[in-house]
Amino acid sequence: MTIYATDKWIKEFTNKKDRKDRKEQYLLHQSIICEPLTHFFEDIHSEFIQEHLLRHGLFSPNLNKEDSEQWIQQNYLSKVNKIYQKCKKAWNGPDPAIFVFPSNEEIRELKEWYNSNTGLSYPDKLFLFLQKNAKNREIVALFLHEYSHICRLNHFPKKEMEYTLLDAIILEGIAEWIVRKKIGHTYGNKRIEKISDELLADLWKTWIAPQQQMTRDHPKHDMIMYGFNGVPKNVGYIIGYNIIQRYMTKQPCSITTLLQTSNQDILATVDSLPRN
Amino acid sequence: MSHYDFCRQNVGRPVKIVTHDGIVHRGIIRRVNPSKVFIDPLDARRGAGGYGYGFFGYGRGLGLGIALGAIATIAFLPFFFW
Amino acid sequence: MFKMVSYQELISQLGIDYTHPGGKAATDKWLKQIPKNLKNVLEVGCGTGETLKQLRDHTTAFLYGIDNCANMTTKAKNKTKDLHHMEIMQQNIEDLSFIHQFFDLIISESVLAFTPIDNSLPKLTNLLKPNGQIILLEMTTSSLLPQDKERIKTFYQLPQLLSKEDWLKQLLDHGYETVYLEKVEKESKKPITLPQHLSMEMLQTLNEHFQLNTIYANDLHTYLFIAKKRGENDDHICN
Repeated sequence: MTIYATDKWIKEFTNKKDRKDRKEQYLLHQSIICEPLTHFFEDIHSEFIQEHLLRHGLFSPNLNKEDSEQWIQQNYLSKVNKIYQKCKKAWNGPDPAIFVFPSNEEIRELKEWYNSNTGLSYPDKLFLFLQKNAKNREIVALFLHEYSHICRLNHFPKKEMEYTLLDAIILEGIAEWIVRKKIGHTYGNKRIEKISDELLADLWKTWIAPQQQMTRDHPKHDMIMYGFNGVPKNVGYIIGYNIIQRYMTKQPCSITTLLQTSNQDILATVDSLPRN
Repeated sequence: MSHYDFCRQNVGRPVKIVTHDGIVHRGIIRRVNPSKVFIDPLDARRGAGGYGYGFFGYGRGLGLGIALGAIATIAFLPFFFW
Repeated sequence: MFKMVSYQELISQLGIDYTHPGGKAATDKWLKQIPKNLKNVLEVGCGTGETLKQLRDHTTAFLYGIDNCANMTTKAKNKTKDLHHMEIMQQNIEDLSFIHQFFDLIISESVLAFTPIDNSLPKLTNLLKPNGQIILLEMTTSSLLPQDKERIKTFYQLPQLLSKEDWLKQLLDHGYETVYLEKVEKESKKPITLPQHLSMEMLQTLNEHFQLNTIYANDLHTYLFIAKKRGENDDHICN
């Protein structure tokens, strides 16, 4: 069983949080939800795991009992399990630890652009943050996105902090391409769209080409992937998606093959990227 | 003291802001207007990593600013130089 | 396009006071303990001159300050221009041009740790009178893995990263005795204020510094060492 019984943790949290002040609720969230996760991270304190997951859309200590009960009634854990079993078989994928939690529906940007569903994946573990009314197709889209990361990360194993900016844009590009292919164009990250060859070449030259090999612990890595401080929103994702979209038009192949195709083979096939 | 007054009096200082939605922002106060505070973010722990769906609460401090009304707590961030 | 700013460049560009651990409180700790009747005092790495300014109220000695960064010495000269018996020079420890045994007291607030100590400590010791004192406020480490040590050394460009015991041994090996030592709180109580405009590159280095000190909060410490150089005749005493 790789899907953890997070519904029990959530229940425990909302049962105990009553009549506690904000600070205590925070600590309770940390001890009930994040402390068990420390076994899955190397030497990272639960406080930092909490902070990190909150930034990526995990429900906050504000979650109330009614919402959490409604969330639990949706039976997300078994829905995710079904999707996971299918995917794993289809892609011959690995066996990560899976944690499904409510998302933070108070975050406006998350609601507006992601319909309050998001996730985070690592070679050995996967987090899904779902809103209380997530539709099945949305869950499948999110799962495909995240699970495709895990497949590719395991096919090209490295220490996490050695993955580069180029690795990240190809990884995200593949994930978004799969979501659109399998679920439809209205799913996935709504900021990602097809752009012209000229714009792709331009963005590539500006943001990726000079620092393809920048590793992910570099502060600029996330800046380029997510886009802030003058960098266009999600520019890394947009470039990645457009590269894969062109690659798959020129050289169609199965998803399993795509997941195992090296960055260099992909880049060499895409004509619209300027050669260095 | 209101969050607005606090921010105005402490431009240039490293702070830790927790918003009502539970997200922690660390950074140096750059400017403040009656509705928002803008910070240069300091990220304590990028090491937790992972690959996401495109959403990341980190950018809000700078690009959009943090709405003063969304702030639950604000405190000085312990800081020093070697 | 993405040029790195080194930690030392960052400190010099920030140009703020008390860029040593513990801030003013740490300086106050040793200020109260300096001996009476000092004639010549040297501060290496005087920065913006804030410590020299404080020191002026505690002694009548002639105060010398050196810093290897012109930006800092300009600031320090400016800050201390109305104070008597004060000289500030842009110099490296290696090039110090004072005569042998000139100083009664030498101060380094988080400076020596950034220099090759095998060269810098003998150099300073040579300038110190017998029975003169050296005051060090320096970074120390405890039980770090080699790769973590390397990471810290690389970022701060440290020639060495010493434990409290290593510092003690260095002092004793270089002719000091009666070493007083005290652990000092790294973070200053008073919140620091950073300049208005920080470039992306400076922010990045600042960020890295902040991150390293979050990760290694329990592995990096600050110690105050006050050591007395052995007297002239002590070498001949045998027991």
